[in-house]
Amino acid sequence: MGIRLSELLIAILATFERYIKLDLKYKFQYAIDAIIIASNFIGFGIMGFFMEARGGVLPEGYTFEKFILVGTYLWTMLTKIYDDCTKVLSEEASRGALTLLIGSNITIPVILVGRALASTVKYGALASLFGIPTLYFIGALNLKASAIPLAILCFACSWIFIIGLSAVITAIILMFKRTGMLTISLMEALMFAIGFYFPIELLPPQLWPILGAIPFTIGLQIFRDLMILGEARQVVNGIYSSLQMGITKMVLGSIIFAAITFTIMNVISKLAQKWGTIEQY
Amino acid sequence: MKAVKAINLTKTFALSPLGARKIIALKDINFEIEEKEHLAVMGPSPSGKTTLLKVIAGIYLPDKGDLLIYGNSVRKKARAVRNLTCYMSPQIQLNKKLTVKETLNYFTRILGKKISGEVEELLQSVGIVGENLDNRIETLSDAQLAVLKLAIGLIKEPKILLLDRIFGSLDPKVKEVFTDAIEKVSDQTTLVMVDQEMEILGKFCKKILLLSKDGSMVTMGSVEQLLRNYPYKFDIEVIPKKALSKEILESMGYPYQLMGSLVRFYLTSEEEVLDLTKKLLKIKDKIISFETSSIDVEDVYYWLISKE
Repeated sequence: MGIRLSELLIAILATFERYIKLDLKYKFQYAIDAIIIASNFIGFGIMGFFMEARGGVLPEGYTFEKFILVGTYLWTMLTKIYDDCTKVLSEEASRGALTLLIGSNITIPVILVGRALASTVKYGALASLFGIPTLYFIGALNLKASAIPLAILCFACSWIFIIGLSAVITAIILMFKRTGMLTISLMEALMFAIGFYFPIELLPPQLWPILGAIPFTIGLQIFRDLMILGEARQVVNGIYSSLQMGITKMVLGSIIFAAITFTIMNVISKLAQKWGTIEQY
Repeated sequence: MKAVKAINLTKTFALSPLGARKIIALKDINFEIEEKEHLAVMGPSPSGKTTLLKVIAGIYLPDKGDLLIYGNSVRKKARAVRNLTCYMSPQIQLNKKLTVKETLNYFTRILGKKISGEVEELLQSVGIVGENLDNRIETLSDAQLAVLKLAIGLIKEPKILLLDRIFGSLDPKVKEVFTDAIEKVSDQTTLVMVDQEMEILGKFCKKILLLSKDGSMVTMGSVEQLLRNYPYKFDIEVIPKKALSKEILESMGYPYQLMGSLVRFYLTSEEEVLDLTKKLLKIKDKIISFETSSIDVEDVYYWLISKE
């Protein structure tokens, strides 16, 4: 008996609501997260204020401050979602709730997506609370109403990519139970790879095809353009040679990546059931 | 109708990532349980009792062989199997910060079921009703928590209830409440139990499945059937002041089993009971008390284990 799409959606929605309610019970955690997010904006704001990019490195209309803080807005949300998603299995197992969830036909992908949606609401609100006023203050809130759908698409594709990455980590956790520094290291490497600190065209051109194919790289770049310049550039060196091609690469890339990673995670969660290790973390 | 059918069921556990090193938990198990039958799974630790329950619940998948739940293969239709079964264990916990209502709502939504009158009645029996539904789970008493877990398990109207060491973990008062709760639902469900509380197993289960330490099946049969094959009819349990010497025990002239300092003698007739009672009275300065009882599930279990 397979699962119907409607049942799957209900399970995801119910799990999402459960995590929202759970998050709201831990108000102190909210305060801590708010402080961390605010610190991110303060830290990168100071960095952006005192540092200047070398001539010609940033596109016209960009300052390093705007470049880094728009990136911080998107990055903060998505990395916090990634953090929650990669911890959710071990947290459920340590609470003793995982067996009950599995026994109630709640699968690992449903838990992961439910957690991701709840974290999106939580960190979307917290990051916007500090991010929107900061971006407005530095003049990096030039998003036009007509560009909102594209900005949302950029966020959605980056989100799907990050959830896919969380699925990879979850698959590793299911197999090896510990990831060591991998979870954090991956994010550190990604910060450089997607052009968070500096445009990827500063990296060797041999890397451009790989880095420019990461949906998050394209999403972040277009999102930055929309916020800072008010419109997306048609050509971005190292990422795409036409905007349409960039959007297509971003959409297809994120969907294919998430489909592959979720399939891997699903297979490994079934293997973990066979190995009898699904509840152990 | 067959509720459970195990066919050459084998389950191993991976001791290393990717399952390179394995330990066998269940070995080539074959048995059947009829609908609404109540089965006690017994065996020394470890013998794969919990593993068997989790395979029946569709939480673990078998390595070899198969297990059919109402005809659904746990290998091929794990989702259907999970809908038909409810696994309960003291290890299962609920999110303590959520309220009772939030928790019940979550499970009713994901299972696509409503709370039945039976479940409502069960919750009411421990005072989970009205305003109390808005209480956080962390504020519930042990009895309320135990019954709430059972109620959540019953939301999906399982056909098979799997109780893993539930009673042994409860204090006497909670046990009483929980026993009543199980009694209410047990008539309508197939029950498979693992517990250290022999009295409870004897109360609910009319059939025994005995597993050995290597995970293979020793025997399965009804309590009456096993009792029929059992060579004794009575036992006398003796609590000595300090451990009785081998000479004293041998001098009684009856087979016995030592459980720490406690001694259990096995007897075949009322005459033997009378004879042993006389002998025990002669050494009354060495013993605190002794108790005579007819053979029950516990005796059969220890007898079967001793034969292993």
